[in-house]
Amino acid sequence: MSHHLVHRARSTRALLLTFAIVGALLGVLLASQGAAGYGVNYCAGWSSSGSRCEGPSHTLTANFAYDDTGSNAYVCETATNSSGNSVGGWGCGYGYAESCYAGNQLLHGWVANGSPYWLYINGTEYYSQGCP
Amino acid sequence: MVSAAAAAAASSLLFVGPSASRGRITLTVTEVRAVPPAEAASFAILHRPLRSSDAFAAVHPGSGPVGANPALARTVSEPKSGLSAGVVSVVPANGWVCLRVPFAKGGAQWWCQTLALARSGKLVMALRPPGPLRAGEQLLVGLVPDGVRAVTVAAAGGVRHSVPVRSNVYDTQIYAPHSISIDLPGSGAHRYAAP
Repeated sequence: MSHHLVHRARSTRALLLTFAIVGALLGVLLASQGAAGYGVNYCAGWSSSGSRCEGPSHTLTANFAYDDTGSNAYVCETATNSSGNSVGGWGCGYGYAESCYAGNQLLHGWVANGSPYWLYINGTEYYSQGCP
Repeated sequence: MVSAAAAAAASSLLFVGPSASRGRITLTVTEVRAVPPAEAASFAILHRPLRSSDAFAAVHPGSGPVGANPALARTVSEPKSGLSAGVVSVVPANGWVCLRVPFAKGGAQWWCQTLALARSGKLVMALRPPGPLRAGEQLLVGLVPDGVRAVTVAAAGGVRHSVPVRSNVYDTQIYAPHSISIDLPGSGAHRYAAP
């Protein structure tokens, strides 16, 4: 019985590992498109439902949030200026979300977990180039 | 914990960072030069001739995500709101289809889905107000294949809202949506969790 449980735990762990790696690769694919330039990863970590995390300040041209668990869960992103005002509100999508910004002011990127579950979320801020 | 560590490791190995310009791995997806026939076959909006009103003011020049070509975008007008500038662009991409919605105060939100998932009505995104994420007004914007005339959005309090589809696009502002129902030609009713 205990052997069965250990085997099952290992299988589950392997599945989660696969999800994580697939999610990371998908994040690379999506986040590297249309926003070539310099990027800064931020707020990589587990996130509870509804929680949000603020990135560093840059003259952002794009901000990405993606679900690194690969579960295609709902994630959101936004950006705020130095006064704390949001530029455009939250944009949300399944698995990832992406917004383009003018790049003419310092902004903080934000990521948020819009799903009902814990997620491993990553954010990436881009500056200097890209994003129509 | 293993998956967290793996995700973090994979991200740090493969993804960009402050010094990532030295070793950034870029997976290039070629920008499409014409609307892929399979996309035009599923979404009539991508089949119609380009109009002057289709062009949008790009935030920056260049390709969109996953090979999306802004020059091939077809744009529809929707009501303006505090969340959106009132237009939605459908942008063909390389095996994917994208939606682009400009924010009311500058910038734009993109969201893309593979053609297969877009055909099944899963290309839907949401714009939500600034501040803490909570139940509130959301702008749902989605793309559906030819033959779908309306979608039904169910929301908090038992609200059910039938949203008309125009040129493959639907757009509605609604409080705390929880599901979207779509009757797809040939495959029947589908219900998806709302953003």
